Amino acid sequence: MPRFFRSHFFVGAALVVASGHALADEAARSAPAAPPAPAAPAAVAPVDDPVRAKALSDEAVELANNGDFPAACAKLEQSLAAHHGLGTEFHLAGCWAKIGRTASAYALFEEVATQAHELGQNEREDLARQRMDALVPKLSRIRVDVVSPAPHIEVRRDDVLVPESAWGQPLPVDRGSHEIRVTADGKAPWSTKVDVTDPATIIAVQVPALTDAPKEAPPPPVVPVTPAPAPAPLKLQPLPAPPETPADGGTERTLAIIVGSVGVAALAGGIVEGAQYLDSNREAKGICPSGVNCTEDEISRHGKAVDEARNERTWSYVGVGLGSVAVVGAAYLFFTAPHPPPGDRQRATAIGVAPWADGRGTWGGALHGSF
Amino acid sequence: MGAFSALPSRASLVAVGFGSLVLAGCPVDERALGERAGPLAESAGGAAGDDFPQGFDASGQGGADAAGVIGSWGFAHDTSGWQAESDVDQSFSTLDADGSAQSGSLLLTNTGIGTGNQYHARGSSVCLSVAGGVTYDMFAKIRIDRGQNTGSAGFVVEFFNAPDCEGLMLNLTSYATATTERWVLAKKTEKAPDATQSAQFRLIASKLEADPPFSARFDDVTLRAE
Repeated sequence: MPRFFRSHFFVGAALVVASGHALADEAARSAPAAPPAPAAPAAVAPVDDPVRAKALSDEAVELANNGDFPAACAKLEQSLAAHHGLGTEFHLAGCWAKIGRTASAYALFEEVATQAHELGQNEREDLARQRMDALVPKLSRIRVDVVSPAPHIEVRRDDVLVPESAWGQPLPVDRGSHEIRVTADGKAPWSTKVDVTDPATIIAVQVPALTDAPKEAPPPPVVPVTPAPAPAPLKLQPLPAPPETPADGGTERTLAIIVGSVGVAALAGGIVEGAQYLDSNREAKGICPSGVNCTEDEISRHGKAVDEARNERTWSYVGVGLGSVAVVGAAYLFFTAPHPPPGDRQRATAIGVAPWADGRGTWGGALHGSF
Repeated sequence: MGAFSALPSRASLVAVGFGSLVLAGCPVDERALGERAGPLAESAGGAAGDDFPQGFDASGQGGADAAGVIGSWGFAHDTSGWQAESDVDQSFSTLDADGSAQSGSLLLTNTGIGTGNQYHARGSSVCLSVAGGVTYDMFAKIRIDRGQNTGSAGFVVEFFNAPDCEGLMLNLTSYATATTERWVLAKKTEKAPDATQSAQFRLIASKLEADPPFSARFDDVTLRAE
């Protein structure tokens, strides 16, 4: 069989009829004029290209023969976009039916039937109507019931207006998700989504009475707008040199605190040694106070106590002397150092001296502060 | 000119035909097949029962009793399995092709009414699972009662590239007769396109759109693989 019979042609027998007589034959009529451009499902191509359309259609048939109907449908849509053909539309409708787009297929078969009727191609019309009949039991439908129509209400399914005459009618839809959206003057819009998953189902959507739209805020007063002056051109100027940071006296004060700490420690040591000197000296005076008939032991212990007292006195002099000098020097350094900026003053002066004692005769002081 | 020239009167003849229509790509083009005897030559003088396939299902409910028989319907009791199209009345008739009192036939009436001067074929169909690349013989016994307006009856077999008679129709073949008052055996042989997966066997009654309803009877309908 020639290829065009296999995939691209309808071949049929003529029906030759006489009233009350027996007659039949196979025949065909001359070709009608090319059909006008229909409301094709695909975008109308700006350039009519029958050759490309034929090639695309051949590919589509091949794809469909291999079971890839989604791809075949896409090819047929491209073919229609390149060149309108009633046969291509017929194929595409069948293809859509195969992939579940039953409502689209039904509508396209109807389109084919209508065009074929206008063209006098009654066999094609009959074929298309037969395919429509076969689709009817498989069609899923959505019925939109409008309970309380508001003035100027509009019902749209997937952005397509559903005329009032179709309200309450189960209208065929493809499988998939569909949005029902209802609007009316002065009313808040209402919408819902409907998922159609099974064939031969009817889904009823009841549109409730629309609520009043919220009052809108009054528009802002109209203010004449004067154009803003054009910005002045920027002049690049050298950045001013950063000001020199004034000396805050930190180094001097740090040094003063260190020296002062050493001086305080030395002074404390001198005082302690002085106290021990007094103690040792008192002990020495207590041994054989008369100085007559003193035993060797008393003489020896007295001598040791006197030596200790001398050493302690010496260290007392050193400690107190050096400590005093250091404290005085530190005080001088501290108070003669430059003052920091006001914001830093508190931080720079946060120092202090705290005395301590452990209750066992040991005492001293601790210096603390932050710099 | 075959059967066409053998008829006594041509004044009231109306010829309509299935053209060969380019489906895609090229402008719609009908190939003029020309007048030829075709299957009419086989059936014009044939009596019911001639050349009829063996293995016919006497129960009339379809089936594949014999080797190669894809479907066979004798309409013994009803018309079950056949789906009437729109504008068609379908019923069981007790008039059997073989005159059996225990069987009957399927009666189709095309009720579509319009204003156009076009023939429209409407009918009833059954979908069958068939294989591509196989040659099939199609048979039906058809009877048109006298006294009706212009019309004809026959069958169409359509081959699809998907199961359940869905997808793309790859090809079709048909047969029609206008013989009245006797049973005519209609026979056609066709090779299914390679990608064929199913076939729709349609019994049709054709009439002018503007004419009143037109009826035909069908019996012993069979599709058989060679």
